Amino acid sequence: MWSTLNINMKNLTVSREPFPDKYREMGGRGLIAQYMMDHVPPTCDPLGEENKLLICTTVFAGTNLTTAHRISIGGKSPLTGGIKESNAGGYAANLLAGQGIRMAVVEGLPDTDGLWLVHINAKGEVALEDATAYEGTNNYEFVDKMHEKYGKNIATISIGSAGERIHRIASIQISEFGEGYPSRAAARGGMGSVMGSKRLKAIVIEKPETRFEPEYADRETFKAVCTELNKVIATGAKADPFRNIGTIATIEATGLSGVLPVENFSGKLFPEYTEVGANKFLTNLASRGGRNKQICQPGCVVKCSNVYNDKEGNYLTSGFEYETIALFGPNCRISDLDVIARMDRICDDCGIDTIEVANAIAISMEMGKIPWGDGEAAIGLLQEIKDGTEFGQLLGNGCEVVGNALGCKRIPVVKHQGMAGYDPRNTKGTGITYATSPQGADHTAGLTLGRAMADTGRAAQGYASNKLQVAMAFADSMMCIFAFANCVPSMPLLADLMAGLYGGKPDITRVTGMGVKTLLTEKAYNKMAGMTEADDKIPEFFKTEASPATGSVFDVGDAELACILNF
Amino acid sequence: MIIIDGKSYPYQPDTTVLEAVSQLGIQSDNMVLVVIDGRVMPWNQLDQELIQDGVEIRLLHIVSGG
Amino acid sequence: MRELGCNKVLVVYDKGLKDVGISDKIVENLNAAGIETICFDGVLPDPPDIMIEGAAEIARESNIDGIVAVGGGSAIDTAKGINVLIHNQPPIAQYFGIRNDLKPGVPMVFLPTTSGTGSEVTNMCVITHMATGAKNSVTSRVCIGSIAILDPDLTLGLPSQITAATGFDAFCHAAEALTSGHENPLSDALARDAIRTISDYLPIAVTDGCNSIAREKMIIASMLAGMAFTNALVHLGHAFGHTIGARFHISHGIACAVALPQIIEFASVTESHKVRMIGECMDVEIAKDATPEEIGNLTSHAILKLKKDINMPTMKDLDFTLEDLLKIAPLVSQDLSFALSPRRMTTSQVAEILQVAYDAKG
Repeated sequence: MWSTLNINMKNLTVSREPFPDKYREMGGRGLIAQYMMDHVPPTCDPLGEENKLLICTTVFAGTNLTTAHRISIGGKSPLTGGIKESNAGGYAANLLAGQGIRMAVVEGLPDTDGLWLVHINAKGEVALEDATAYEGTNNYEFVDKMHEKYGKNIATISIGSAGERIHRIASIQISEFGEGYPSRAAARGGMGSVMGSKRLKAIVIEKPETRFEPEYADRETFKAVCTELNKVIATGAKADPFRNIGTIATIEATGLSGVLPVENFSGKLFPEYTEVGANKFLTNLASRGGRNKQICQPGCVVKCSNVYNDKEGNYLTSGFEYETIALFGPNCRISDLDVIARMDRICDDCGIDTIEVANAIAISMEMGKIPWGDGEAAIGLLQEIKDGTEFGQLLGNGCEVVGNALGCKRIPVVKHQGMAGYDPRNTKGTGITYATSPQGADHTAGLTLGRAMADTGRAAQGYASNKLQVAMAFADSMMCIFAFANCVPSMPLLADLMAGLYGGKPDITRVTGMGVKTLLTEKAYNKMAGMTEADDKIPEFFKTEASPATGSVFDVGDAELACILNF
Repeated sequence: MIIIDGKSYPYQPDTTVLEAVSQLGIQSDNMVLVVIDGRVMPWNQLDQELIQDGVEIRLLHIVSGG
Repeated sequence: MRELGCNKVLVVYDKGLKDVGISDKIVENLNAAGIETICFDGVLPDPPDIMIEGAAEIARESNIDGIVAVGGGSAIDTAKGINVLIHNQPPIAQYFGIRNDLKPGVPMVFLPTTSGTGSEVTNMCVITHMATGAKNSVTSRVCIGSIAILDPDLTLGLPSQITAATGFDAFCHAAEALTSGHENPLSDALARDAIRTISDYLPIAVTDGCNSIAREKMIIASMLAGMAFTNALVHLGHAFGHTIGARFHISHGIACAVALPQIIEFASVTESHKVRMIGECMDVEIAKDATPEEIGNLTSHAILKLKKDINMPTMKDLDFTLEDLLKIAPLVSQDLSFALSPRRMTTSQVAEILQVAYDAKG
């Protein structure tokens, strides 16, 4: 029987309880939506007593479905003011499932000063331990210390100094399978600050002596379908650029089409993008002993991750991804991949969302605080976050805060959250997703690139955004969206898996319904939190400034946006 | 011989990369990366590059994003 | 055909056209000009892919170097399908979608006998995939004719009901092209002219089929509407139309007409300036400060009136029940054209529209 791990930071207790039956067929984003609706008042202070930090894995927890062990971290976001589900890869979800834990709920605020961590040992015993020794320790050093103490067969869920300082763009870093680097980020929405507000430094999970096995309604059917689906995904992944190169491959598509953000979303082209593109990346990996085709969780057949070394061949960073490269790179006019890799490392280390802070740095460049393209100066700003300077504090609270402080008129946010590496004028469906997703400017909620007709046109973009938002909402409850993208031709098998695990009929509406329900629940929650249609808007400058690359403006009107999530 | 996605095809001199992939019905598409001997080549350069005998071309389809 | 360099052409038509002597005349003219002809008279409505593949084999074996199609959309689309397969291997179903990579075919000349599908100027052919029963289209440069010859005399004999149905199909093309959100100034201009002409002349062509001026105006308007939607696409009208037509086996024009007034009203929320154009081209007086809802309402009533003026049957007239009609609501949203709607419509909104459209009371 699955457990919920209840971590009460007011009482300073941690205990296991039976996982509620009402959530039995839920996981990931869907579970977070329903649990929030049931237990967390929408009007609560995100950094206050009533908010909860939810950590869970997918509906297929404990099974052999490839990438079933994504971790979803949710709560009310201090950045958006609405519901947030921030997910990541890494090893933690696999070990939580192995420990029989379907969900961890962190609630309350401590009455006393202190810092704590939760430790789950190999026997499954849970304890809340004093972590004041690690106060101010950033994630890489923290993980090293945990390896010294508990060995390498562990996973960590931790915050760095940014989370401890309650920066609204603080991430929660998850250690990856293998070396255990804390490089998988549950980055969006500032969940690291929620964890920091509760004075919880980390959850450290040891590999269990005996792995928990879920109950199957029909084990044989499940296993047969699972084997088939894993094969389908593996076959698709063979031709997937994410496997063969890494997510950096996306820049080869966006760099030519005006989708790649350049110079704070100026809409220009940046021919030097090839300096931070796939070929440069592969050359640097090959010549320095780096690696791609790495997994971040056991059993992954997509293998999109990487280890990136510096010029001397020493480890620099891992999980080096498109968003980070696009936004620290061309969007800041930086064309040095090594500089960007150093920035990635700093962000993972102090626990900060690279998308948010890169947008903040671009704004700082636009407003003349540092020059465009100056990588060392950009690193200097990140150092200010680490050092806790006055400007560092601003940066730690997101690009909108920085933009307002510097008087910038061009702040690329929706629901106060910074946009990802796709210019909404040149992929309008993605712009529609940015505007209408309950998660804020979140590309993973429904990236429509190449999925409708011309990306700079309106035709079918709203349709694509709606369909993808539903698909991503259920995919994020089940597996990694990169694996999902490769199983779309065999989607009915997901219904067979649900039936094999939970019983009942294999009905695809059970799967798609999960997506619709999650979206509607999130929308309702946000409405109760005080959000209105006014929050479903793309910043004005995208509507008035034509992208020089394509001539396109974001011309999807409010009336069209208002019906995107009608069902 | 040239190899495209694991299949062999006869080598024809004076053929551009674009011609070689077009014969398979592959259209110019930002969502498809053309990788030649391990290097990505943008679509706007494919008609400028002649294929060499023994070249290996892979077509990688972007299906997701993140 | 001689100017296009053709010496041996395939002439494509259906048996009905042979019976009325039109195809014989065209073959005779071609032969008299020294052009050898091979005839294919097997055109079927909603051209099945296997029919096209059979005809293409004849074309390839005969080494034809040109195609002439005379007839309605089915004949023209058959010719286009044959042209796809002249230099590209069958089956044709593998080419569904937008294709930039097909090998070119031979010159094609089209003589439409309906007004009409506009197929003589579009870049697509609609084919029934017999294995699945679904209709799909190949959109390609290979589907573009070299010349369209618009001879209104070829439409003089068109019966009243077919005149109304095909004429309203052209109206839908123009109205949907204007409101798709994918339009350009050229397609707008073409669509406006088509709407103006159709609303003035279709009622005349329906009631007085021998009126050569009305027939001439209609054949041109149908062509303009075809050009308009090739650029700007169609959306909800055709999503409803395809679904209704397939389920109830009624003609395309009548099927697309069922919900058009309500669809234009729906579109007015985001495309009111374009819906205003439709209304004004139909001589509706619309105040300068009219709201999108008012514009939609006035224009949809004008469209309803046009339907009545051309005696367009309603679903009720055709003896279908409302229950039958509402059952197809979920299927409408699965049609490809549904994705092109200027703003999202839910399945329950589809059902509401079908309810209102059932007896076309508006």
